[in-house]
Amino acid sequence: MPEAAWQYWQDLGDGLLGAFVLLLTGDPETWSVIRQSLVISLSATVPSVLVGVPIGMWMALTPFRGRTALLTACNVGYGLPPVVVGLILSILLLRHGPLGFLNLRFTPTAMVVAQFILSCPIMINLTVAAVQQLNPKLGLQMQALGASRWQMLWLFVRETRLPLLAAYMAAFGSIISEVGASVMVGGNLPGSTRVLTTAIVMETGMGHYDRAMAYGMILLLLVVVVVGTFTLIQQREVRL
Amino acid sequence: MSQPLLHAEGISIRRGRRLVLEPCDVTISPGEVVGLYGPNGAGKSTLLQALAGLLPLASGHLCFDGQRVGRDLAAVAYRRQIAAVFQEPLLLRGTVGYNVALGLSLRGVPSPEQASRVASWLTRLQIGHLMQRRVGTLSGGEAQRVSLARTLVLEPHLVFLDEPFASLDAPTRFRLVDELAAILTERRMAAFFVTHDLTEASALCTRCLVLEHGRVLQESALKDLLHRPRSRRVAEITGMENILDATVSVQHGDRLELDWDGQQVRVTAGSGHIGNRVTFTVRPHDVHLAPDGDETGPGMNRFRGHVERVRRHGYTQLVSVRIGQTSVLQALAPMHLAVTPGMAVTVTLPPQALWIMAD
Repeated sequence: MPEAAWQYWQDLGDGLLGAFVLLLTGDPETWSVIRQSLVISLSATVPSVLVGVPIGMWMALTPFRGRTALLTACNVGYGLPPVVVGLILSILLLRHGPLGFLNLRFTPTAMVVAQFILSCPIMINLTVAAVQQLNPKLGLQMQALGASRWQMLWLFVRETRLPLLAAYMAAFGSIISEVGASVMVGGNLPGSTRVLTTAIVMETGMGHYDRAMAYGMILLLLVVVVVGTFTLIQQREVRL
Repeated sequence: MSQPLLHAEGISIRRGRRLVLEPCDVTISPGEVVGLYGPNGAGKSTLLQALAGLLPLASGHLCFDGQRVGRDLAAVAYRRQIAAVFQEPLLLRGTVGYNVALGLSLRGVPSPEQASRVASWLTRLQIGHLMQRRVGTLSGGEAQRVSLARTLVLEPHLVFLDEPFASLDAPTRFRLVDELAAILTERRMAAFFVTHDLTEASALCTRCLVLEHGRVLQESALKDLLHRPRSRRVAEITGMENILDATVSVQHGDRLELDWDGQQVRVTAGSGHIGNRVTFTVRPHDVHLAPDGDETGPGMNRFRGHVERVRRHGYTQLVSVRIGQTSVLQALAPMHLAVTPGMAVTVTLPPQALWIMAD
């Protein structure tokens, strides 16, 4: 094996070792990045659920003019390139831009807003799909049993809880792994807007493979733990 | 008659630009069971859902117990006084107990009372042992019983039943119809019952509405519906096998005689002027069939003919008899009567069993 190649494998091994050391010794910077990642993604996806699920229910259950157009809009939102969302939001938040007075550029709040814009259409779309899979007469039966509007909403949520859980997994998974919008509106400021994805990009660029790999492993682990937990709940429910 | 429990005045339903239910008046009294009968797509379910306050009305209004729904009584409050069972069980995820208690919990009935009422109705419908079962594990018949229990546990004054037994096998269906009839009588519950089975209707209903294309064609007691259809279409819908065309030939006081394909037919009830074209009916089981030359039975309206076709019809046989040039009459005969195609027979039409339709 040539000398250069040998060096490559040796560096990679050192990097992996360094990653474990960082994780196991509780390096404050590493943990700050992990914490910010989780806080920002949860702050974006929880409101997405609270807003997206009722809107999705309403869209699935109420026939109205322009419903198809709205669904198409949500479908577009589903496939929205994060970089484009980041770009638009950055322009709006520029100091002299229309939303500049909010002073939100390069703050975690701006990242939450960007991730909310990205995850809300996912929740709406998957909620519509979940409700439309149910028997169309189910709503009639709930009404006939004397359910009020709010009780019906609750019963539909209860009835579609498994597909809704899957929808949340999809939304969370795509948000926590998203990098384009985060880096553009967040700016990767340490202790504030530096999250796992933006940190990986930065550290890789700087040649700090040990940190980049540590973050990569954590990100993977986080996704596996969150999605795995939900899958477990889902499967237990299916068996019942 | 006492004050009606529900009175629907001029209600109609529009779906897009199409009127799927033409304006009609429907009334039901406490304890009465009214059938909604008609072919597929007649608008029976639409009428039922309109009456249950589940569809927005294009015109008219509902009055429940003297209160106008939507004005004196909120729509949700009205729906909490009634209950409905649909063709499919439409159970929600969870246990049988959860499903049966659902309507009660939506009404805010306290848990201990919920539990005792659920238990008592599950027992009443012989599914007490299913209480803890998940609904996904139930058979079709069990699921429909649960759906029925979920409705009856509310002990409403008025129940809406939309072909609740259509998807069940015949023995289960008969048993459930019987049990339901007993419960409705015992609790003096009024009910609307959608069906396209007149046997089911006759087991439950006192009165029947016949619908087609969103229009009420006839409303009458079930017996009248079977024997005295108002129109040719009603006769066809109710499965009247003998719908016959004739001309009035004699009209003298109460006495009426028809010229039916060259035969003189005496009718005791009905009206018409000489020369009028009329349509009359007779149920196959009212037609008396005997081997040719048998002169027993009433002497009037006796015709000779030839057997064209014989079909099994439950425990009897349905015999098609050709009379005259073009007329074919359907008669029900007992199985022990030996009839074969081509055989000469005598048929007798009792004058009181003949019915001349208005249009």
